[in-house]
Amino acid sequence: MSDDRYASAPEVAGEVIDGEAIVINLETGIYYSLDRAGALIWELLTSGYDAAETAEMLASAYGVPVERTRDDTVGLAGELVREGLLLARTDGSRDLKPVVLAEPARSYETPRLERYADMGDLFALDPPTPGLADIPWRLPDRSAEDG
Amino acid sequence: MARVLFWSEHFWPYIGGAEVFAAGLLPKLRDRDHEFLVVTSHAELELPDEDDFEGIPVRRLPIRAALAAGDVRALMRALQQVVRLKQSFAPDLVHANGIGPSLLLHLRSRPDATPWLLGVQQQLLDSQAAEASSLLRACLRSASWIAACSEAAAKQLRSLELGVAARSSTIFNGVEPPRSTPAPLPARPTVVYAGRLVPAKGVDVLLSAIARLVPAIPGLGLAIAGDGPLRSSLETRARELGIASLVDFRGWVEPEALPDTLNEATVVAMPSRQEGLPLVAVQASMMARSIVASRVGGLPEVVIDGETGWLIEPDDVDGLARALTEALEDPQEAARRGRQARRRALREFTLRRSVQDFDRLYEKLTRRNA
Repeated sequence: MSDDRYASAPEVAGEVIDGEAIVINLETGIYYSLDRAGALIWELLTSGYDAAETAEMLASAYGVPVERTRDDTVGLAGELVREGLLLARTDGSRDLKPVVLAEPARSYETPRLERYADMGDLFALDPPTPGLADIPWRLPDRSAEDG
Repeated sequence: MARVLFWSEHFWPYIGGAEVFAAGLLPKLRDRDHEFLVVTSHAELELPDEDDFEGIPVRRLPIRAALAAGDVRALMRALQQVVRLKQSFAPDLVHANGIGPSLLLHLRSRPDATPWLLGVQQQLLDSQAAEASSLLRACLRSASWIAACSEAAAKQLRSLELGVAARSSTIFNGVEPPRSTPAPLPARPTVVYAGRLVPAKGVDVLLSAIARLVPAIPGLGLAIAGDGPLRSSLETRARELGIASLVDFRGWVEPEALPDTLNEATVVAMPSRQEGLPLVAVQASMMARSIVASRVGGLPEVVIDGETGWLIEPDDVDGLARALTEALEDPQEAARRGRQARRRALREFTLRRSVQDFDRLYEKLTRRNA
């Protein structure tokens, strides 16, 4: 199955910068993060590379055996599909986007998908506060007590 | 002594309890030689990116706007800014003031060696406690130390995540004793509410309770100091209940004027559904006001039933109406409980104590890293 190809799901927004990926499922409001090898796998899979190509590029970038990166790539791709972030591609077309492989800053570690399902609750705890702009701000008097 | 990057979801001029507490805390800790950089969001107000709060630099990034819009590009740009700020400031410690969604960027930009302190300012929602994969749990696992604002919050966190018990403590949110002198209780029976108008505060329950009191308490008045997303629906509710003429929606009262507003109260109402350790309860106590409060979060740690106020269950209109009636019909008892509230608050909930506790914690956490 390692020649499977994927695309990010339509309701998903992901971005990779400096070896860090943040992915948002805009439909569920769940946020995800990936770093290092995981971010690179996300970037390669969503740029049109299949799982085998991704594993090879990962192995080459980190200098580790391809058997290891293949297992990790397939495992992570499966997790991303289960989370609804990636869709398996069934068409035969190839629209590869170039990906620049930077020198990894750290040694290879098995990628981990972090899932943050509580972002909506965290907003609900601290909702917007209208009306503040009209206040002539002064600080509370704090000279009454010595620190 | 320590270079502290103070991460705050909102910061002054926002005036929720956590923000007012931070505005008091930071200058006092700076006076103890700690150096601060505040990193926060603009949130809803038009505020400058670079600012100064009493000589403490403040950097505002569009984090909350990006999170609210689900704009991942803007979020990643903000993440890059956070990384640069951390690199240039090189903090000995990151102190997060409360759990909010922007902490995602702190976690994703964290150099492994820098210790970080999570100050928990709120009671968690049941749905948060039930969620296994969450930013909250990631923060609890990652933080070097967790300082909860109340014993109730500390207990909740310890039950959520194994390992929190060994690296957590309680530091109450303290306030400066106000310069205003507590006034005698007013001649007109007056209930005061102060705080944001959000569902967690239960102001809808207060309006229902006030409507029940009207026949029994001649001249009754309710002052609502604060604003928020529920304001217009609460104003509508007051009209529907036929009490609009006795409810005074004042909007935000600036912090300087809050003690005088509290001085207008026969009794202060805090019918919250969720709370951390509300500063208004401490401020009202310092103004010798008894409080009718819900038995939620840290409120029972400030309000002692029968001694400094009345405790009721959240969403209990009858219970709230009964307790308010007791306070309003027996102002001498309300005054007695208010005096005891003031003595207790001046002993337990001063800013001086919070400053000492955080100062010690900063030293402990940065020494460990040295």
